[in-house]
Amino acid sequence: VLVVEDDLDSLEMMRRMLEALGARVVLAQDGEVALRLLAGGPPDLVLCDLMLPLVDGFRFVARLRSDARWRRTPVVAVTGRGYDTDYERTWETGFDGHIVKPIDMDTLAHVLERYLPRRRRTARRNRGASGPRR
Amino acid sequence: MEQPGSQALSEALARIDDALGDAVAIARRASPADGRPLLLRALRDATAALRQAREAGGTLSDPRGSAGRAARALHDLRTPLTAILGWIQLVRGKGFEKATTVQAIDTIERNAALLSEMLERLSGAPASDGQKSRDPFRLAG
Repeated sequence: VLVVEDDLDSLEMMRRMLEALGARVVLAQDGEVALRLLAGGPPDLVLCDLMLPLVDGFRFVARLRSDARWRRTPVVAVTGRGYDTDYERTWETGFDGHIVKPIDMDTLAHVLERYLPRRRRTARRNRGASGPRR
Repeated sequence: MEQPGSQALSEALARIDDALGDAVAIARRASPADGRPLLLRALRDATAALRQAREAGGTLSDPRGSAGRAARALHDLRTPLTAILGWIQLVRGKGFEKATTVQAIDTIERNAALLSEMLERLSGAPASDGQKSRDPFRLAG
């Protein structure tokens, strides 16, 4: 899972939560670094803040969707913006999902269940993940 | 989905109140060496700032354009709130080693201080500390 978030405390928190859920995590603090990391191979899932330095979340996802290698990579917005117009804009830009901060372990577990390929979910469980607490 | 204006902001402030209460419980379990005094002081400041922001909340929903201010404040408050709630959940759920517990408390303390600044700004109250001079609303994403 690639996490793109410019707030370091939130980034580290998400890394720990996702790892506790069994995911392998790669971190980026801005969209430009995230795009460079993508060149190493597409992740199974991207969690991306919207307001980022250099390349913001909207431009980041637009770049992904314009490249055949990453067109199908699921990207979920993780943001403090939760008005109807924000949901519409992320949907129109090409995000697959939109969750509003603050987030917790249950939310992340739900996102992993929904967007990770089934074979990845099985591997995650086999590595001892606790799974969603619903 | 939420509606712009004071209702969503009131809900966010209530959630901040809950988070600060949870953080106090964490702080009371921590040892003085783990940073308990600093965390408790930050939480006390944030709670006082929250009270001021709640008292000022009604002025943010008047029809002369301040709904936009409420919306922006709501968005910005969520960044430190996310870190506080998330780290509280991590500390509660896992038996962290001492160094990570100290890191968690530092993180909660730092974000409580940032939240306090934002709430003071929201309520229009002057910052209580000369070091609180930067604009916290630039930071959130």
